[in-house]
Amino acid sequence: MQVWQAALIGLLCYLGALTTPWALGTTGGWYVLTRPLVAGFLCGLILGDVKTGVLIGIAVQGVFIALITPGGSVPADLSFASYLGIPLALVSHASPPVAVSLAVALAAIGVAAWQLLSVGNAAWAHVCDRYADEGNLAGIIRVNYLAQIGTFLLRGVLPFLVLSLGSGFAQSLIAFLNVQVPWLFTYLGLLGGALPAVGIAILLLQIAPSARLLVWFLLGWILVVFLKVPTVGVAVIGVLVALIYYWYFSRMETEPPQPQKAEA
Amino acid sequence: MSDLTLQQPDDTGHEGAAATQTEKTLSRSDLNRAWWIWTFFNLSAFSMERMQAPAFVYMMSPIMKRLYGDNPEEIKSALKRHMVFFNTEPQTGVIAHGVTVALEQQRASGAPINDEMINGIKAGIMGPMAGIGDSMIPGTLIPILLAIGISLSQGTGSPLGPIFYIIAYPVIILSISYYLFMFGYRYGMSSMRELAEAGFRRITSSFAVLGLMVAGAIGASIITLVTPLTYTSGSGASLVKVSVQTTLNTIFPQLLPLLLVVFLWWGMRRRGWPINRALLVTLLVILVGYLPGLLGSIFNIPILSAFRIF
Repeated sequence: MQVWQAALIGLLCYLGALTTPWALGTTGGWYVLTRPLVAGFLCGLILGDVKTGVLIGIAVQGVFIALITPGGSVPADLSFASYLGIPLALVSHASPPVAVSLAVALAAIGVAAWQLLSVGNAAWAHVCDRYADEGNLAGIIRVNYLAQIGTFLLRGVLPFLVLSLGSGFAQSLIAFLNVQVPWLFTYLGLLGGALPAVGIAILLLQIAPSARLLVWFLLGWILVVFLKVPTVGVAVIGVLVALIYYWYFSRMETEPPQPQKAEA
Repeated sequence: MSDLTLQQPDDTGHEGAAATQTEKTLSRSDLNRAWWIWTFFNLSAFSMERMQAPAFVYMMSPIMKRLYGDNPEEIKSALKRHMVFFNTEPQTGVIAHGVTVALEQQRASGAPINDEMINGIKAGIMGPMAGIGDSMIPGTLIPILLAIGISLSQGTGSPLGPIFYIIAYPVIILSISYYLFMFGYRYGMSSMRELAEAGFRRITSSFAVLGLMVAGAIGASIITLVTPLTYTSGSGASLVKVSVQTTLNTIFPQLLPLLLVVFLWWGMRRRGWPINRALLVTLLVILVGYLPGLLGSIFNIPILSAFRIF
């Protein structure tokens, strides 16, 4: 990987980090640039293979399709999955399922980086307290910019160093393992295919308040496997069903009938 | 929290205060600036201790300058008031910000609103909005848009899917976020209760229906789990090898992935597995299915090879 490629990917990793303001805050950064679907496309552009980039991005996106970060607790670090896992997989010519396994491992490592940052940043909160005592509004505003130093080091400089110094090593390691222990890659490939199941299960956990609601999940599944409806088609049907549910059924479930309305 | 209705300035008290303090106003551009600052900086100085508090103060800065610009003591007390713990879903939780701005304006105009009241209302809104926002945005809207993007590029690797997502998500979410901020400002405190009574739960459960159907469609199309297992049927000359997967496909396509998802969901919901445990379980499920076949092929043991499940 060329130095300029590593630098650009490092920059994207920084811009897409959860705590970076410049790319429309969390909206354009964490929720757009760092989604593996988008990261795969952008890394593909930088590394000269958009098609493979997008395909790897789609495979990795499957695992993290419903990543929710409640109360700042990041269960899996997308920054490193997207901007270390995907480019390393791309330059090593790894298959999309192998890329998924690689990205999941890096996502687990990246959680430590996030924890370091979110605990370390508490120091800035104390600086803010001092400014608040002094009535120094400009000081508190400045902290919002100064706190970027840590994010930049961890999300920009570190990935740049790893990619520019380590991509050759990662490349030859993967090539070596591919020849010496081919069964490992068969296993990683199988694993990468199955890992999106975890992402889907997390999504179910987050949005189904009761187990009975799983019938809707089954309905979506069956529309695809038996009736061959494309995902977009299911989304359109889903909107209609949600409207019907909202108008005719949700009232019954959430609001018990008023006693005074009951007639003999 | 039932005494929060106090913040509606009653006429007599208000007139009394108005004698000493003039009515403060905020322009549309003050509100726009506050919203834009928040949109960019909501997590920029995030820490586990105070979470989004520094960004909240930054968001309030154009408001404070307009309302208390000539009074350093008021600025100081406002800074202390808003440097307390704050955390919500950053894009939809802005209802809390709108309400806070409205309260701050009424306070500056002389309404009897104290620090505890403002922070109580902020905390009362940020909690529910964090939950609702998380399940609606990263839990429903983003998976749907990503699924559409994936379906536009799946197999072909066309850049159309990512480009669709890059444009669609910010446009949709920024419109929603701006609307919610202004909504919060216009209705002040009463909005939250009104909205809650108007059936927040109905809205979320309807969203859940949509999200779940899309989740089913995504799951069915992106998870790969097939078995190479075969069994023999018939006898003598008519002995045939039958692929288990082919049989499964005629009965229920994508059954294995469905079983895996339901198993993981059951584990996390009923047994309280953390996400890492779910990943580990998947790792083991694949390993257990793959290992006998692998050992069989390495040591050339046909019986073990036959047990290979994946």
